[in-house]
This record gives sequence, C-alpha cells and structure tokens, in this order.
Amino acid sequence: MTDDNKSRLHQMPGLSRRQILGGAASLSLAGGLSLAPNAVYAQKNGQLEVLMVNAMVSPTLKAILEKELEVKLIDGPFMSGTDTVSRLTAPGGARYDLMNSSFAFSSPVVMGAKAGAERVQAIDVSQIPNMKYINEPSKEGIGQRDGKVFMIPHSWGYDSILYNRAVVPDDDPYTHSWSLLFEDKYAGRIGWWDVAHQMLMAAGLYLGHKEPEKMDRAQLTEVGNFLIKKKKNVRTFFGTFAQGSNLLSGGEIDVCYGIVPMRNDLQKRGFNIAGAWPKEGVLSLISASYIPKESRNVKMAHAMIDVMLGKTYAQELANGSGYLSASTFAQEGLSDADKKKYGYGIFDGSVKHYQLKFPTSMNAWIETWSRVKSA
Amino acid sequence: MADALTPPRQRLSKRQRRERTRKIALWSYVGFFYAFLYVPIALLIVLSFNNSDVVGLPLRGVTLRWYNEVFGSADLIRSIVNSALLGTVSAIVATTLALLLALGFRTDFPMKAWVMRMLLLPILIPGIVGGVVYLVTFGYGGMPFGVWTSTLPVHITWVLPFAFLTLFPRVHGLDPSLEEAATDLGATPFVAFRRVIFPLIKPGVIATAMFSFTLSFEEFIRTLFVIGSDRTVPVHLWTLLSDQAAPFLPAVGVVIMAVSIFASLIGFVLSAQADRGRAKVT
Repeated sequence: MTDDNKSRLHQMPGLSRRQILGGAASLSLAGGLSLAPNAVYAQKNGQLEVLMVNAMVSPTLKAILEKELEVKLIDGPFMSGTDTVSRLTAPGGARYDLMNSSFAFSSPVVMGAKAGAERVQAIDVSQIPNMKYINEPSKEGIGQRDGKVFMIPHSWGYDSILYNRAVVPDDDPYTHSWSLLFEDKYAGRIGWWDVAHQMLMAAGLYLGHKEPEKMDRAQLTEVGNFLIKKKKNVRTFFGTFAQGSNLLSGGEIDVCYGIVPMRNDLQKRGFNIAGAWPKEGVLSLISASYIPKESRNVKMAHAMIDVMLGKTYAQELANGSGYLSASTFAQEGLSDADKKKYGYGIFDGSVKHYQLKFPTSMNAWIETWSRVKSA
Repeated sequence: MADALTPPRQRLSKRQRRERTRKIALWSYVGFFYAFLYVPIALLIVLSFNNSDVVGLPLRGVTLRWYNEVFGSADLIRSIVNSALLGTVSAIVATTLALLLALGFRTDFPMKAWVMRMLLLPILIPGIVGGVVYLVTFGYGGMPFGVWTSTLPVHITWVLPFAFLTLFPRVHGLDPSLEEAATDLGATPFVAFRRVIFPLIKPGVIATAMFSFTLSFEEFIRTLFVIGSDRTVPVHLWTLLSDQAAPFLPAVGVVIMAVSIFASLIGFVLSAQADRGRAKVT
C-alpha cells in the first residue's frame, strides 16, 4: 500500500478519526436531544397526570374518575410513599398534576417546616364541595396551616397480620395480638416483611411502647434484641407483597405481615385468609391528596379530589379494594358484616389502630433492622 | 455349566477405568449444567398454564386464563410494546455509536485513554446513583419525562459501553491489510468500509445489537427515575407486585421470553446471512 493511499484512507470524508468521533458525538446529541420534542413540559389538553397508590386508580375506579371528570387519566407507576415524596421534591419540580401518599409519613416533607416552605399549592376548598362528607376521624389527615389547606384525605389503609384460617383458628387468642407474628406457637410458619419501618413499629407496639415512632436508641436496641430472639420462628422474609401473597396462599407460611389490598386480593381469589385485629392496634395510614406547585391542570386536580370523596367513587373503593374511604358515602351501602370485615370499626373506635408515623430517627431504625436481619 | 458359557468378564485397565469415570463425571456435569440452565425456564412455561391462583406447584390443571389476563391488559401490552420499541431503538443507536467509536479508536489521538474511561463510566456507576443523576440532570434541564424523551437517552447511555466493549475487539482485530488492499485497488474509504469492513464485522454488529436490545429491555432502576407516567415491562411488573399476588407472572415471563427469542431468531438469521457473506469476501 502506498503512502498516498494510506493518507487518503485516513482523510476521506466519513472515515477520518476526527469525523468518526464527530459523527459519534452528533448521533449522541441526536439520540439525547432531538427526540425530545420540547424542552418545556408542555400541557396536554384533556389529560390529568397523577401519581397515586395503584388501588386508587384500579381499572374500575379509573373508569369512574375518567367518566366523572371527562378527562384521560395518566397514572404514573406508584412505588411507595418514599418514592412519591422524592418525586415531589425532585429537581425541576414534580411532573404530576395530583399526587397522594400517606399523610403521617409524607406531611413533614409536603408541608415543609414552616409557613411558606410548603412543596405544594394551597387547595381551594370551595372547589371541593364533597369535603363536607369527610368523616370525623379522617379529618386528622387534613394538612392545613394558617387557614390554608394543603392536603386532603381520601382513604385509609391499615396493616395487620394475615393468617391461614385452616391452620390458625379465628378464636385463637394469638390472633388478638401482634404476638401471632412473633411468638413461638406458629414457629416455622411465619413470614416477616423485609421493611424496617413497619416491622419495628409492630414490634414496638407489641412490646408496649405507646409511641413507637419516638423510640430512642436504647429502646430500639431492646426491640431489635426481641426480634433477633424471635427470628428463629420465621420461615422467610419477603420483599414484595406478591411474594408474601404467594407464600401464604401456597401454604409455605401460615402467618405474615400484610396490608389491606393483599388480604382483599387473596380473599377475592378464594383463599381462606383472614386479617387479625391486634389489641395493640392495626397500623393505619391515611392517604391524602396534594397538588404540586407545578401542576398544569389545577382546576381538574381539584375536581379529582372532589370526585374521590364523592358517592360513586367512595362506594366502589369500599367494595372493590378493601381500603376504607374517608367519605361518609362509603358506609351507606355496606352491611354491618362488611363494615366489620373491611375494618370500618377504625372509625367508630371498635377497632384499635395506631397511625404509621414517621420515626424521629429513621437511620437508627434501618440500622436496627439490618442488625436483626444479619443476626 | 452356565459359568462355562458366559464369556469371562474383561477386566478394565486402569486407564479405561479412569476414562470411564471421566466420562461419567463429564456427562453428569453437563446434565447438571443444562438442568440448572433450562429446568427453571421449563418450569416457568409449565406454571404459566397451571390452573392455580398460586405461583408454584402442585399443578392443578391446564388453563389459558393467565394468557388471557396478560393479553387482556392494555397497560401490560403497552408496556411490552414500549420495552420492545425502546430496546430496538436503543440497540440501533447504541450499536451505531459503538461502531463509529470502535472505528475511531483504531487510531491514536490525544486523551484517547481518558475518552475510553469516560465512555465506560456508566458501567461503573451503580444503577440507583445513575438514576438519581439522570433525574437531577433532566429535572434541571426541564426535559419532559417519557419513553422517548428521557428514557431513550438513558438507555443509550447505559447500553453504549457494553456495545462498545463487545464490538471494539472485533473491529480492533480486523486485519488492516484487507482495507488497505481495497483502497489500493481504488475503493474510496466509504466503499472499503461498506464492501470490505462491514461484511467482516457484521456478525459482531448483529450480536452487539441483540445484546444491547436485551440490556435495554430488562433495565429497571435507571428507567424508574426517568420514565414519568409511561411504563416499560420491568417498571409495570414492579407496580403490580407491590400489592397483589400476580399469579399471571409466569405467563408474562413466557411472553417476554417469546419476544426475546423472536429477536434472537432474527439476529441468528441475519448473522448466518452475514457469515455467508463474509465467507464470500474472504
């Protein structure tokens, strides 16, 4: 090969090093930027983007919302309350018109430390006529400051112990306490949820702490030691509720920590599963809605909060999901047996509950739980 | 009498015994190896037809209801389509970029080592950290979140280093005299690339594209941060797993596997054609 040819090879358009790298850079830019139609977060007419607990926008409930609001609902993938508030505080602002998550867990972030530090906009309650139907206990989930409302409750969930009735009889005294999840009677048949917050709250309540979320390090150590002692009774930890549900329905375990939709789903599928009503209290949470400052469809977001407290949505929520509605409409269509089964006793005081509040020292909680797991 | 009719049993030599033991051990190893690889997949297929609300054994009859649930869910179908399209576009763009980079890296230039390191950086950054970085960057940049606006660039960035690492040895190991000979015979560099180089590296390019597709199709944690209200398969499945038993999961697994096998088949066909083409060239 001649020198001339060699130099030609490296100088020809399209193959020179400079141009190859330039081409690569251009393609990178094209891939990264030109496919983005606008750098601006444009509003799409007739759409409302929401981030909500999946059960709140199940196919049936979504259809009700879309019909009453005459809007197309785009629901983002809900992961957890932590994820939701992270998205609310993300740089560039929240990308949703309406969001919801647990009041007790989220309000410190949503409301901010002081007036003016709120991460969401004030809700115009005059646009929410159904607010007057919020039942008395749920009013605890209204986030307000200086006469302005920032969070409005729409539903309740609660965590308890799920058990296989074929193995654990309903009248077993253990079902009246969180002891079912910890003590030796069902050793080897128990599943623990692999989450620090809920598991330590449950153990804290069981060990007699009045406000488990305020446990100091010594108390956490005591709870941790208790859990380590009882770990021998645990057959397995599970990470997702799908895992827990399969373990329980497949007979791998007979007792586990569980949430409302998990119990509801298993019962609907015909499994002989029940939820315990521990005397220390089920771990409850109020789900509340809030409108991010960046919401592009504020009017429709208000309308959606209103519909979620309305009769059709509330009654379907009560019947279909197992969650409790914060609206008084929900109980109108329920028999006493259903009210008892779904846990509406939380509202009249016949079912004891304790709200899942955010721990004062979450780091210490996670550390304690890690110690339990690695012991 | 019988003993007299039975031929005397031949004693195996030490070497033969050792050979026999070696064969048994080898076949056992191969058996376990393939069982380890394929029994779970076979079980997944079996469970996808199991008429039980529990993901697991025992088998309780044959049903197609889980497939009906999968194909009856518009959200799930949409997420599969999103993943497939995203994987395809990511694979095409990343492979093209990787090819250009691999060609560029055949020659020396200033800061070459540093450019290489920068290129490989996304592999070293943990997924969750990468996700947060993208969230912050796109957030400040005001870029809308979605499959094509934010997730595609993230997937390309994630897949590109792998594509480059797969393709670079192939391009680097190419005999430069072939290209030089083509140029000597009057081919322009573009023609030399199109007629000589590309046919030779085509199987590698196809393999890289397939690998890139798979990486993109399965990506979860980075996607979760930037997907907005859209869903890919991993993201959608994770939301489903958060509050229900999801007994249709094996059926979803089989559908996803079918998509991957289909993509692989296309890859194999193209690769075989490319190999035949290469044989003609060489």
